[in-house]
Amino acid sequence: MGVHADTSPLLEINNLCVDYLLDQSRDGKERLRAVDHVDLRVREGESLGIVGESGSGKSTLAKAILRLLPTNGRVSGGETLYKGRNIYALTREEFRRLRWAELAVVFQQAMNSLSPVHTIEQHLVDIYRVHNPGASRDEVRERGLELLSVVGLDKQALQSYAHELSGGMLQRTMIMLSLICAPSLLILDESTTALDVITQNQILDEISRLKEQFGLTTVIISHDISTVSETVDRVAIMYGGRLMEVGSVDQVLRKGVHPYSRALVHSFPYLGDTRQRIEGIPGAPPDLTKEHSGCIFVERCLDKREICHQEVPPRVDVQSEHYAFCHYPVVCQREVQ
Amino acid sequence: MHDTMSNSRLPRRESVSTQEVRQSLMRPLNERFIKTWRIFWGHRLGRVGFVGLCILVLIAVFASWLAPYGQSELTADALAAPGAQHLLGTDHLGRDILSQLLYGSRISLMVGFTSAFISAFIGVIIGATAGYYGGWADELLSKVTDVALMMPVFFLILLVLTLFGSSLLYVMIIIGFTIWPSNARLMRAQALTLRERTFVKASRLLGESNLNILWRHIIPNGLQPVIANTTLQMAGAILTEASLSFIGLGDPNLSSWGRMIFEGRGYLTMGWWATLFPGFAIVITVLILYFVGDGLNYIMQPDRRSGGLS
Amino acid sequence: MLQFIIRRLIGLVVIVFIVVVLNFMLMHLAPGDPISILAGVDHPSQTMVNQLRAKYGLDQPLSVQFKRYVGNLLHGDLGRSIIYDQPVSKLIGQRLPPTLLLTLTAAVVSLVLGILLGTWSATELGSRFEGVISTVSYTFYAMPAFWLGLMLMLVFSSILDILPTSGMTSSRHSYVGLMHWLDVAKHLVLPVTTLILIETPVYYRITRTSILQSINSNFVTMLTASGMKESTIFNKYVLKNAILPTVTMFGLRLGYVITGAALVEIVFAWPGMGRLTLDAVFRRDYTLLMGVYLAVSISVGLMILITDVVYAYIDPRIRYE
Repeated sequence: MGVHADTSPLLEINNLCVDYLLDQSRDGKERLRAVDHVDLRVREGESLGIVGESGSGKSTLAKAILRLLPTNGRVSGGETLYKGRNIYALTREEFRRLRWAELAVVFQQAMNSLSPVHTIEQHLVDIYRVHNPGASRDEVRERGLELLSVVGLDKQALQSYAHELSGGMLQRTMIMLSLICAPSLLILDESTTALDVITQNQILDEISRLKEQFGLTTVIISHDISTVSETVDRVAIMYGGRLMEVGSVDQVLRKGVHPYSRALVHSFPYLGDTRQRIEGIPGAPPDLTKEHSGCIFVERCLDKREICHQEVPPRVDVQSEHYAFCHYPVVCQREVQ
Repeated sequence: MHDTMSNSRLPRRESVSTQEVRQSLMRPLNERFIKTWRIFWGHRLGRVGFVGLCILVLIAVFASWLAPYGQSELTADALAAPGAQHLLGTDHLGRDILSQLLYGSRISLMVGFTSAFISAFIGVIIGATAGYYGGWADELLSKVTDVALMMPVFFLILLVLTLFGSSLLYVMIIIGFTIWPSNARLMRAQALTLRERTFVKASRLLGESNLNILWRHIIPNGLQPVIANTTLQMAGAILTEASLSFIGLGDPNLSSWGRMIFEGRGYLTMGWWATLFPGFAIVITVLILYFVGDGLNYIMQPDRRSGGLS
Repeated sequence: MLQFIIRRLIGLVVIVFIVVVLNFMLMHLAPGDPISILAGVDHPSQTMVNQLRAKYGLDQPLSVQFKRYVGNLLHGDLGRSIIYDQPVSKLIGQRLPPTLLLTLTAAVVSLVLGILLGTWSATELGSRFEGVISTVSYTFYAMPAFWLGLMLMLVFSSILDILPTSGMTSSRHSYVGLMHWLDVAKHLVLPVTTLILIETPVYYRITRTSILQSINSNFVTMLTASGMKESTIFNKYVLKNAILPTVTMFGLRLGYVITGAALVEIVFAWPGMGRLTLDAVFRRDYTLLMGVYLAVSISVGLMILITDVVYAYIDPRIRYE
């Protein structure tokens, strides 16, 4: 688990707020706050998992880091620092040089992430040439074949088109493509969600191996807490655009203090589970076009009190590197099994 | 089965009457219609088109009141230029162009509606059957549709009308019988999606016959794109009728707009108004139908926002 | 790919066969008996009747007649035109090339123009100006081809007198070589422009929509994430994807373009199939009309085949259908 004890983190997110601007005449609302005052640190070599249900803002967060927000998306507060540099303060050209060579991403739905009328090899060549202009086709092919064997694909894949590959193969292709310029930070946005469980596990194992092999720093975004927890070092749980709890996997999942984290863990069965009943979390996600004065989770929280409606919960540090945003965190309780 | 939904707050109901079910289904239908209407009205072109269409229909209905002269009234003033007596001039037989245009609107609208209706009828049945049943029925019908789509049907229409005669009825029927492929394609795509829906599968399990399912579930739910396409088909039918008249295969007893151009062609330089204004009428009518079609297409798109949320 | 072409060729043969069957069926289903239909007169002479009987085997059962009919066709015998008193195949041989010249010129120029305008519109144009262009293009698309032709002729030939009214070549001079082609070109301007004005809006619209959709695709997001320049993404990836619906549309429009060409030919007295059709309709020359229908169907079928092959070349997904 080679976590380097560097003082400055590779990726630093401070108080980040991201809004989607809406067409008031058509939707009647002005904006949707997708990410609300999020603070995160990722150290070099570390692996962070960001977990949340749909609409929790995790994908928006990823896009914000990569400067891939759609035309109506806005960073309305806070900053994102990569290696100490403010990402949004960079010019487009400066950031373009960082893309892929430092910051790479693997999206969900690999089938849609590739042009249907170009071969994998063509993608490879063109992307490689972005940061290595003038590289010969042979050079790129060599590098491609290297990586193909690393992700466990046949060289036949290079000549194929996206529609000719299975879901698992496509995902591996995307991972291969993401590593072609040897990035330092790799973000995986729901990259195993569309796959069957067996393939999912295979891919996650690959990612762990690659992490070790290349010294990658990874941010894995998923709604599936159980699979993610096996691959990452630390976990951040998001809900309604806000952070609920952040800590190591052991801290958040076994000794979680936030009602939401505990409820999430509770909602999954595990081997040796003796429970008769598995509880989901009642209620529905909040409307993010409205202002919320208190805790964003208050409507669905079973432990709520008066103050939870009125004030935004403060950050509570349980241990070093383990904190939650709650008025009444469940500390000193027996461990959640 | 052990009930794991202990958190459920839904009250248990013993039985629900058919009446209540029907009512609860109707309310959303009315609300949905009003909501859809509002969206349609918000689309500028659709709005303009709809108003235009209403005006056209009114003109067609009240033509005899609006027209200053009779339907085939011959005046002594042949090929008179537009002026006070005849706002749009007269043709070579002395008929008032404006009146002819107003009466001609009846023919155009009738051709449009009838041909489009026949086309929709045939196309929907073929498309729904192909999409729902699948298998060899789908293969056969799709091949037929593809072939019909690719053939230059105008020449076939010429052949048929020359052999069988060119009354307006025949014209409408043959046009309807040659333009159904696009509707079939649209309906088939809808049927393919719909047959995988839970409520269709449930109906099958409940023992509803395939024919019933087609008629009551598949077709009504899949009609939307066909309806939008129908306005385009009406426009096309009007243009086709005009072309047929121009070749001399229109109904010789009726002065459709196309026929007016056909007859005025020989006097182009002397009486250009006899060909110009009928053409305008066709263009305006077709444009109105395009606009309505645009509006209908707009309400059917689920993602209408530009720069939507990803 | 070869298999794809073969499959499409077979499809073409099927279509032609269907047209032949339709011709045969209509001849027998129509009011009046086949003899007067083929002879074109109400009381044909006995010699004529005998000739027709022998040739088409009209006193034999239908299946034999059909075989005879197809047999004749395969020998290139499309019957004899009553009006012109010449073999139909000869007439078509003379008149088809000018029609194809007009049709293909109009179709290709419209396609290219539509793509250029659509691309420019998708990338450069603001929504205010786009509305104007959209309305203008709709308007042209709403015009009957023959009417637009008449109006253009009125303005440019009659009133302004800068372009010829009719025909394919000058009747007063007879040019050869380059001068001949320039003369043809001059006569081609008005008819081709008529068709182009009506067809271009279709390609404009579909190219514009397609490019806008492609730009919002997920793969564009992915390529942007890789740091690729916008221009590279657009020129190499977006365009190739966006062109597909336009090519599909080209294939679908070919039937309409040739029909429009026939009508425009009538207006401008262009010596093509249009005039042939008009006469055949007017004088009830069914043999000629059926020949025209067959010839046009084969032409359109071939053009669609070529379009399909081009499409399959661009889009690999279609090759395995």
